Amino acid sequence: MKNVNLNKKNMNLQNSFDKLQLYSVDEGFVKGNLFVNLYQGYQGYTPQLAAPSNLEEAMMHEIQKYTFAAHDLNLYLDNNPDDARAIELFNEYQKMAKEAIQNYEKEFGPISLSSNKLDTVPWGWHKTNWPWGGDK
Amino acid sequence: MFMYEKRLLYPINIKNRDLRLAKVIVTQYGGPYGELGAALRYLNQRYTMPCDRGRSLLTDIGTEELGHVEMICTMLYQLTNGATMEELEEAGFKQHYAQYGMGLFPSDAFGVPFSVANIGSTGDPLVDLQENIAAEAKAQATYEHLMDLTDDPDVLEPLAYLRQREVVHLARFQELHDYYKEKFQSGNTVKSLA
Repeated sequence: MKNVNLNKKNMNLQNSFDKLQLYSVDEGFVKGNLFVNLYQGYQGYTPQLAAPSNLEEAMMHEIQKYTFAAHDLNLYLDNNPDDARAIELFNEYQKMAKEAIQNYEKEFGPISLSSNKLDTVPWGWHKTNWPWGGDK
Repeated sequence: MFMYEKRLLYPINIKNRDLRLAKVIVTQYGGPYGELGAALRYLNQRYTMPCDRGRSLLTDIGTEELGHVEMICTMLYQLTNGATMEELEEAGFKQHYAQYGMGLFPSDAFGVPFSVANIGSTGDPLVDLQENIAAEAKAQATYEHLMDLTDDPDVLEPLAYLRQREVVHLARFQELHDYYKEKFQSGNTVKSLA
């Protein structure tokens, strides 16, 4: 059990997000937040990500981290639609994400129903593991 | 419309069963400040947002929350899958088993089934966004409580990630709220923002 700190709340509600200070893709993913000025840790807990234990997990991490980076920029852009630099970066991350998805699907099979890896018998949608680990 | 990608938003690999922990983590599935309520709240509010900023933010965060539902359910599955009768007995899990077997069920930590009864929706964007800011703050506090209740790093990792997402969502809702507040103060009506 952790010690409970009743002064844990530090709601840093800045109203202006002038400078776009971003973490790297890897650090942002582990932290769950791409934006340096929005990050709020909890009681000295250090975010960590267990190292992938096989190729499938490693390739899945690549998909997850680039899609996460693009998604956090997506939410920023919904509120800040004129930020050209952010739009550029979003598209860079999306490109990396699409490559990571292609690489994964080539090795392991389809992860969406719009994949072009659904053209073999038996039905490819059954080939890939379900995310909650039911097959393991 | 909705599409599905066969992957988690963030990796979850829980190695040790813990039915007692599952009994409290379930609050973020079907509880008052949980992910299912959040998804429905935001996806419901998006229809009456006054401009593209509101429509897109509510849609995009609401969609992300559905992915969070999946993460919570994954945690519940991994924390309970393969439990023996002795483990059920020891963890006080017999009521769940009697009603739901080893199936998942969206309830709060007391077993009260999920309800949308108190999901705020007023059609007033400033009010809806204040509801959302409060909802995110409550979810963040709940994740902090859950983090206080375990030392298992496999569980702490995804809980910390989900907590941080609440921090970000709160900031984005606050940002949009302040934008609309300024717009309305300068004489715009809801209709003129579209």
